[in-house]
Amino acid sequence: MIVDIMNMLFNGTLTGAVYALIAMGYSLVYGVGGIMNLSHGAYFMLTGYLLLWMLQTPFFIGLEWLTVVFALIIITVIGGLTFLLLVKPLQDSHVAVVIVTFGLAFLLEQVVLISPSGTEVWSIGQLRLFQGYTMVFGYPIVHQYVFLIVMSIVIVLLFALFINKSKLGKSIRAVSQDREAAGLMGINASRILLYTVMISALLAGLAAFLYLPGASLDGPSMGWGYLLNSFAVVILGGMGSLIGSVAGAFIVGYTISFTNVFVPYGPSWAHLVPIIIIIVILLIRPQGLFGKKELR
Amino acid sequence: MEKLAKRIIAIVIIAGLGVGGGLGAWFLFLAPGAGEYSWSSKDCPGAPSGISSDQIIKFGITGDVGEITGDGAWEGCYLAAKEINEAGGIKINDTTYYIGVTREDSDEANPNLVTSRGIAAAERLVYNKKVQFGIGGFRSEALLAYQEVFMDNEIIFINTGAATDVFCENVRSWYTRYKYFWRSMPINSSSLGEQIFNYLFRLIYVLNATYSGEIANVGIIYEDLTWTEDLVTGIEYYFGPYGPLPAYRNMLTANIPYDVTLTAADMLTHVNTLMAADCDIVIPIISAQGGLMLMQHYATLQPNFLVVGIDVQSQLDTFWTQTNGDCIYEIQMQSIHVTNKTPTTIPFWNAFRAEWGHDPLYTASGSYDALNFIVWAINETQSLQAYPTLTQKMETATKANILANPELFPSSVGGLGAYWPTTHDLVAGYPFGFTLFCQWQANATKVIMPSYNSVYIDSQLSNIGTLILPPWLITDWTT
Amino acid sequence: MLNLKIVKEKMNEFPSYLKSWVKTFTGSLTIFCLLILFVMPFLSANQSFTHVFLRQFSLAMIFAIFAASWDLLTGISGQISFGHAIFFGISGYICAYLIKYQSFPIWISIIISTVVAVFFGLAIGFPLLRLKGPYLALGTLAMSLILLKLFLMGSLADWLFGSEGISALPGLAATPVIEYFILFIFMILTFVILIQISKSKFGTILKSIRDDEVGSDASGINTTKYKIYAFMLSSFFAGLAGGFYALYIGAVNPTGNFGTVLSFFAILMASLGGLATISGAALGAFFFIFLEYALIEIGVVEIGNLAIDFGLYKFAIFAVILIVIIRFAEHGILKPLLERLKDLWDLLLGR
Repeated sequence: MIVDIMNMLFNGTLTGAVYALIAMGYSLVYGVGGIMNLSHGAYFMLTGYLLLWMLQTPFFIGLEWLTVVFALIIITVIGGLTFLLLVKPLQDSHVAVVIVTFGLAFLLEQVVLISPSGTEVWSIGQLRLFQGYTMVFGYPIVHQYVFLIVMSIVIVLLFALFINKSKLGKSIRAVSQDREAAGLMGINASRILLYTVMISALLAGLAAFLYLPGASLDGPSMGWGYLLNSFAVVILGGMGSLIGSVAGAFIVGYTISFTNVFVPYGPSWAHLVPIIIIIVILLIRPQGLFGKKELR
Repeated sequence: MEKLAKRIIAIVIIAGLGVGGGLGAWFLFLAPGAGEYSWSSKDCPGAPSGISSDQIIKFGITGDVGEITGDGAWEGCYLAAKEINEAGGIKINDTTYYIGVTREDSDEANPNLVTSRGIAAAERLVYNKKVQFGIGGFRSEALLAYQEVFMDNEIIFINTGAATDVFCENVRSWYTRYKYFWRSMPINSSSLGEQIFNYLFRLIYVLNATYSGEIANVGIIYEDLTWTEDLVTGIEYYFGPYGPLPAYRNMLTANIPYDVTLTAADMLTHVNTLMAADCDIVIPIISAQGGLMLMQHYATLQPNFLVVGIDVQSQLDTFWTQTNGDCIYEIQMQSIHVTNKTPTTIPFWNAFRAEWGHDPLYTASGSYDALNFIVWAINETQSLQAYPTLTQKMETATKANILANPELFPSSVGGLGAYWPTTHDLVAGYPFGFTLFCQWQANATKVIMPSYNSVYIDSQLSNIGTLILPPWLITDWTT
Repeated sequence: MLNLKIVKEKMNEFPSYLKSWVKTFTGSLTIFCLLILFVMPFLSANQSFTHVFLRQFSLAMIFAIFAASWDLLTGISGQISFGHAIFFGISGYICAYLIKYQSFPIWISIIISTVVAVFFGLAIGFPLLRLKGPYLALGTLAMSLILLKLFLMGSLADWLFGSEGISALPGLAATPVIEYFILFIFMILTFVILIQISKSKFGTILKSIRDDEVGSDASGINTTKYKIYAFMLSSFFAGLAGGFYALYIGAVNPTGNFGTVLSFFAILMASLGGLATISGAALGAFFFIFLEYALIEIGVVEIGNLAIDFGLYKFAIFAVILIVIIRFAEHGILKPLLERLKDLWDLLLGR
């Protein structure tokens, strides 16, 4: 029994830590610009494959850690380009932004699929920092995942500090609260949005770097599943709320792992849980647990 | 004047558009024979150049272009066609014919399946390319839809990838319509289940003899989809409270169906559940990414169980690099490997590697056998008539006939190719359709396990290795 | 509510209205396009024409109906739906079930399945109506995913037919040509009805709700009632398309009929053509289906040593075209295209 509880708690924390990183950036972009970026899941997927491709290149033998730097830079740039080339000109139309970012996610998926390693599943275990596990109450705790959870918490804290204390962070908050007023104060809202999208892509990339070496690349369409669960997280926590997305991520994580461990035949229902959360929260409290009252 | 010039330009543009569109449509679709595919020696690998369309026996291959299963079906057919054409083609009533192969992308391995694409692929093959025989298929629900196109047109179609029983049950229940449907690979789900039970019973018996009854629990983990249902029902029965063998009753302590979209964190939960349930043997029934995740966590956590089951991804020779060697010690079923299932298996294996540079997947050996089977029937009957001539000839390839006169029937590579005349399904069981149990061992080698004569006669096959247990498992079982 | 007198007057006006419409540029162009579509099947009796090329037209017509139904809900009424496959799929499943297991005639099955789709529109529309914009989009997306996952489950296969669905259904008609004409008639009917609705008072109310919901609420319009009507109307036509699609394919399965990709097809087609235009949906559907057809037809092109397989890269090319069109023609290709043609026509007439 204690093992089952440990199992549920650890895996819930692990899932929550991953979704916190992915959903935080997603939620931030929505909160600041009202942009629904459907290519967010594709950033996560693409980072994994960028790492894989670079690891397969002879040039990077012995320089494995350089791949991480390159992958994160590339994904941040792609995030920036998404905003500049596709989102910014269409900002006024919800539907157009959604369709164009969907198109981008679809394109990235297809590009990966066409690439030589696109049709199989892959492990990038070379990038694991820690090996082995420790038994706690008869439950094996994998070191790599402990590293992930710790790093995720650190990143979330640093990010909160950045948003609250730094000049750029304050501008981001200002734009998210009142765009016109921020404009009057001399803040270039469009540039702030660009930075926000880049930061969100970087966070998705970081999540991929921390999580995927201990997990696997499940094929080019893996991004959609993470995107969908991020929807559940931000709906639960409230669109645009950072505390909300972190809390929401852990709630979603624990409900998934609870269903997996304790519900009979739960594993085949586990990924229905986030979707049901979306529906229920939308019907009961559409602004989410920590969201702003008004709906866009 | 300027106005007139503009007007003339506009007239020219509109007339150009109209005439151009009309002519284009005419040439593309309406002119006699337009839109039809012109068969030539480029479609016949290994054939001499300059052969005419009526000299070609036309085979159409369905499958996903760029995905391993669809490419496998194509590569197998291509190789078979090339071998036959290089040997001079086949003679029907003193005319030499060559084998032509062509493929269409049915996009059926796509997780976001769009059924109309499979239908369109089959329609192109049948109506545009006028194929006389069809080979391929992998995803049950896609094949269920587009097989009808072949049946409508009374074209023999051999399935080389979908294991569900329902296809060949159709042949039995509605023979007049589905008599053109055959399956050359793999053996159907029920037989797959039977073979995995037979193997497990012997394996558990052998291990228990060595490790004094340590193997007490089994667990299953599987994709919650229709194709796993029959297998799971079987396992639940055999290892459940009402199983036929008293010694194996109540062994099933963990039963995990999962949603195919699972993530590695979910799989970690499941592996821990399996460990908590004290499983000694875990049976995966997996076709997608779950297998890699399972083996990754297996390598990290070194749990006290052995993985024996179905893991489609693990059949690939690249699986070792894909998992960074984490798949070591996994035992999985695969239809073909370097062993003399039949005398032609190893030559086929080598020829395939020489042609394509990688190991054949089960769809490749299946399509290779399928093409050879049809060509054999054509050769024997000197006819291209699908029914009754060819079908009836193919129906003579029964278990009894082949055992009596093996030299009269085509050699196949995936086991002796015998078919049930009523269902057109591959006969299962040694020496016909049987699966090999292979274990990944150190240095990226995949070794065929002895089946203790439960599924195949070990002494009759070459390259049989020995089972290697993970060191931590031996420690656990001996202490 | 229904004023017979007004209806009668409208009926009397109808022929003259039609006459004046035909004389307009869009009217004559529409008639011209419909004429081309009408004579199409008579052009060739070649099987590679009727059984391959015409079938693509039939598919495009089914998707045109589906995309137009989405356009009514999202383009005209402003209720963003990302889960339109719900109605499409449920109708296909009901239709397949009735034909295969209850031996119902095809047309009765289609009628019943369409009615069931309307009930689903009511059942799903009602609770989700208080949501707006992206929230409604996510809600409908989540609904469609729940249905997809339930239908996929092997453990529910006894009730919901599992991942392999229902197969071996009879075709919609004996030959592709008859099928083509049935779909042709239904497509025209759908578009006439939907365009008339969008131009009617009802349509104006829907548009006003889309543009300013609070305002229309304040001016005494029962917005909830009208939004529900929009949901039901839209699900009616989506259901019709779903039933036809099931019979076109001859089988139904969870991913093929409930897949998110189908919802996105509707969105892409309608927005390629142009949101809130209704007829843009038809243009988008034909463009979409025939782009794929053309790319497969082109196949492998060799340029020097480089072999580009357009068939294999078709989805990547799709994605690029989609991004470019949405990026540079936010309101779809229908209106710019019409304007260009009109300019050309005016030049021709010397205006």
